[in-house]
Parts: sequence; structure tokens; C-alpha cells
Amino acid sequence: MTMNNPNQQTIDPELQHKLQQMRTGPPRNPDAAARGKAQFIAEVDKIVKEQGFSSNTQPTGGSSFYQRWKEKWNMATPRTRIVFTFVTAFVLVAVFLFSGAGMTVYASQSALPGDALYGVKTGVEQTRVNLARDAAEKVRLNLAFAERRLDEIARLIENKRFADIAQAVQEYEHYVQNATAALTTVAAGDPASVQELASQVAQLLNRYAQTLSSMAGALPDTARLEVERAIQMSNTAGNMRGKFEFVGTVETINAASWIIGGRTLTITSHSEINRGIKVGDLVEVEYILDANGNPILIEVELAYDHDDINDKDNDDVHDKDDDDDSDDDIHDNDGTKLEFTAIVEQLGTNLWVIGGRTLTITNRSEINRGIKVGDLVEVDYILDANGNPILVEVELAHDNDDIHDKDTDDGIHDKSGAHDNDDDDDDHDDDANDDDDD
Amino acid sequence: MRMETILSTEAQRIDKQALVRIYEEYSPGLYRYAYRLLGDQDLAEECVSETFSRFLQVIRRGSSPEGNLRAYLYRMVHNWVVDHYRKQAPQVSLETGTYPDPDSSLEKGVDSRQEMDQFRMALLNLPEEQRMVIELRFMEDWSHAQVANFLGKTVDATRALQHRALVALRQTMPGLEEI
Repeated sequence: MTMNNPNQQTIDPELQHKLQQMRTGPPRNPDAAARGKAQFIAEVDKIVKEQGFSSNTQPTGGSSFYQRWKEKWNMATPRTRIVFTFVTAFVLVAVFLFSGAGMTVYASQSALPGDALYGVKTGVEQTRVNLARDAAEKVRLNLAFAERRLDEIARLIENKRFADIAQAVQEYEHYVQNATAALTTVAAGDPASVQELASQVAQLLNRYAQTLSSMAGALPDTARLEVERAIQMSNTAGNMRGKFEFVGTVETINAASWIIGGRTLTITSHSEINRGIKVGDLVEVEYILDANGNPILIEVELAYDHDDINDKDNDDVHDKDDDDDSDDDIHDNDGTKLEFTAIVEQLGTNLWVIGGRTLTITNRSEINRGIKVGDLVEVDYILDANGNPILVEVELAHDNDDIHDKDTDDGIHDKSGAHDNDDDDDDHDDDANDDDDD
Repeated sequence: MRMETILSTEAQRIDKQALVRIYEEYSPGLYRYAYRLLGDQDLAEECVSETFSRFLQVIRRGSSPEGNLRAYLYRMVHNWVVDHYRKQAPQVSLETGTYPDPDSSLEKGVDSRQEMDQFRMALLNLPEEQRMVIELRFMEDWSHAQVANFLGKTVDATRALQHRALVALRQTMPGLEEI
């Protein structure tokens, strides 16, 4: 016997039973729930009292305005929500600009690293990034704010405030890293738009690197090292062009190219194509962009086993693709995993410096044996909640000797280093803990 | 802009009413989530209480949870549960009727609870996005479209996540490990 979930996928009945059992917990003890809420309100009161923030308390059990608003919000059509969002944003911005806080923010716009209002300036920027409507908007905002750092560096040089340049460089790197991370998210969710965006990112980063290079000569040694690191990072990020993924339906299969999810991908001799894929299959695609921004297929495999999901006989036997899925779990977290190839500069217990970038080592970092300073390595990393790179895996670059396609793009990498995504997830979880423990 | 984003924006102003709304909005779901992972009502209450306490500390420092507040809170609950299990090995719940199964004998019921603890651990060990898909799809009855919107992914991507999660969970079940 098989059971269907609401999405018409047939799953193992025993598994369905266990999931059903987990749904049915005992009702929450109302007294315990009330105590929890009272404790929370007491903590809020304490904070409000300490910090002198507003305390416009109203009974919330019958917070009629909120309830009505929430009901309307839940019932609203997507179009209504979009219109409401834009109107609200406009009103908020207007109120903000003409209020005291708005004036403070306005004053902060000319602040430089080391100035009292610089934190306000970057805080407002970060808020704008957080409220971006989608990943593509995040890419653009992060790059725009990275460019602001270049202006700041130029002004710091004019004012001979060389000691503050390090902070501007750090902020610059933060925004560039976030931009490349957001670009990966775009590729996962909207592959059709990534090609043009990736090309724009590459052009901007190369221009940023040129701007930084023009400034580096005017700097004392310490500040110049910082700027040179940012130049190297810009070049690496600009030339990396990333490795992207998406899930789509196979539309056309030809010897030279496949069309998947409306996207044409060039096939090379190094493209890894799982057996048995046919038109109509839902597949996971991994690809890179060549120098012209054209997608080159790295690997394609079934997104899931249709026979298994639609198994009328309740046959639990899985094919190899299922097993492979577990190995490919690293790609679940599409939005965060990044990679680059660079020279190892420093090896520490908790931190490695590779290509001018400092990466944090965790107990889940996979480090190939024998790597030493001066080696050219491939690095997989993720960004924590603060945008700091966390090392996921590092291996000698020449280990990937099976794919070096000079005709297409030397950024094509071996996928053999894939590992369990649990590591990635746990890293993020730890990040959240870090936030708490700060 | 999603509901949680609006609430998150309000929370950054440390407005009491907004914070209480956040608590009322998310506390029940977080409690259910914690209970599923812990199998203990008192622990689940403690978990939710500490989660909101930590959340307030974050707000108090002037920080703002990045991205989706709801996901942020769920992640904090998850972290709390992970820390809890790190401190002490998970034990079989002694609560009777925790997972009612009227067709089972007493002995079978104990086995069932042990299996449920094992299953709960398997769920806990799933990658975050896979676990969220299972939670939201099968326990909160969200549609794929809703989950996709929540995770910022395509519907196809959430389907793939769900499938992987189901495969991983099934492999933890007795008699199916070798498949």
C-alpha cells in the first residue's frame, strides 16, 4: 500500500506514518505558554526601560488593528501586496528623510572609516541590502556599496588618513563577497537572468581592481598591502565566473548543446552526463560561464528518481542517482557555497590566508593532506552571517587534472570533491549561535 | 515584503508592541517545532523561552537578524536543540502517550517510541533546508509554492530537496538501510 502526500508524490507508507506521528504532539500546556509569554514581556519591559525606547503597550490579545491588518495581508493578492509594499516603502522613506533620524543618516553619508557616523552609514547600507526584493537586487546593491568604499579610500588618501584605509578595504571585501554569494543565489533561482548579471559583475569588479591599482602607488607600505589584497580579491572574484546550478526540465538534447529549462548549455568533452536522461526529465544542472558569458555544462543528473516517486508497486529499490544525491547535498545550499583558486599564503590552526583572503577553519573543514604555503589550491567556502569566509574544502588545484578545457574555460573543475552538505548547514547553524553568543 | 520582514523591521526599533506581536506570531510554531525535535513539553517550552530571550539580546545589542526572521528563529531553536543533545545523549521519552498509537501493544509502543526518537534524530540531522521542507510540507501543510517562496527557491528545487530528505529519512528506518 502506498500513501500520497498533498503533492501527489507517493512515498513509503512507513515513512508517511512516522511523519504523521510527528504531527500529532500533545496540545501545549496553556499555563506553560502563558508563563513563557509573561517572561518574554518582562524581558522586553526590562530592555525598554534600560534603553528608554518606546513602550506603547496595548493589550495584544485583541490587537484588533493588527489582527485586521494581518487578515487583509493574508488574503491580499500578490499584486495588492506588491502595491502595498511599494507605497509603504515610499511613506517610510519620506518619513525617515524628514525626521531627525533621517538627518543623522543624511549627515552620515559623507562619513569616512574612523568617523563617528561611519557605522550609521554602513548600517543603513546593510539594511537596504537586507530589504532587497531579490538576490539580483542584492548583487547590485552590494556592488554599489563596494564602489562607495573605493570613493572612501580615495578621500582617505587625499586626507592622508592611511590608518583608516584597512577598514574601508575590509568593508569593500565584505560587499564584494556578498555580491558574489548573491550572484550564486540568482543562478540557482533564476538561471535565465544570471548570464547578463554575471557579465556585469565581472566588468564592475575588473574596473574596481583598476581603480584600486591606480591608488595603490600613493600609499605607504601597510596600507598598500591592504589595497593589493583587495585588488587580488577583485580580480579573483571578477574572473571566477563561478559554478552555478539550477533545476530544470530537459527540453532538447543535441550532441553539441542541450536546452534545459529554456537555457541552452554547451556540451564539451568534459561534461558529465548521467545515463538515461531524456527529454522531459527534471534534472539538476551544474554549469559555468565561459569568457563570453555563455553557459558550459559541467554536470547534469536527474533531480530525483521519477520511478521511485511514482512507484505504484511500492518498490523501495533506488537507483544510483539516489545514492549520488546524498553526496551532492553540498549543492542544496546553492546560495552560499563559493570557490576560488589561489596561492596559499599562511597556514594557521584556526585561520588560513589564501590569495589574500582569510578563511576560518572549523572542525568540518576538509583539508587535503600535504598542502603547504606557496601551493596553488582550489578553495570551497561559505560566508557566515557576517560575511566572513568559512573554509569548506581546500585541495591542490592540480589534483583536478581530469578537466582542464583550454578551449572553453579553465574554470571547469572536477566535482569529485563534493561532500556532505551537513557541514555547510552546520556551519550556518553555528553562525546563528555565534550571533547569540556575541 | 513578507510578514516576517515587516515584523523584523519593527523589532529593530525595540517597540514593545511589535516584539509581543512577534512572540505571538511565532511562539506556537516554534513550540511545535521544538517539541517535534525534543519529544518533551517542558524542554520545548524552555527552548522557546531561551530562543526569544536570545533574540531579545540580539535586538538589545542593536543587531538585526539577517534575512528572514522566521527562518532565523527556527534556526535558533534548532541550535538550541543541537546544543541540548550535545550536552546529554538523547533519551527515550518516558511520557506515555507521547505518540499515541491505539493499535499497538505496550511492548510495540515502547519500540515505537524508540523508533520515533531515532527518527527525530534523523530529522534533526538533515541539512537545514531539507529539514525545513519536511517540517513545512508535512507538518505545517504548506504547499511547494509556499515553501519555495519561504526558502527563496524554485518549486522544482524544493521538490528536489523534499525528495532527498525523504530518501535520507527512509534510509534511517529499520530494514531499509541496505536499500
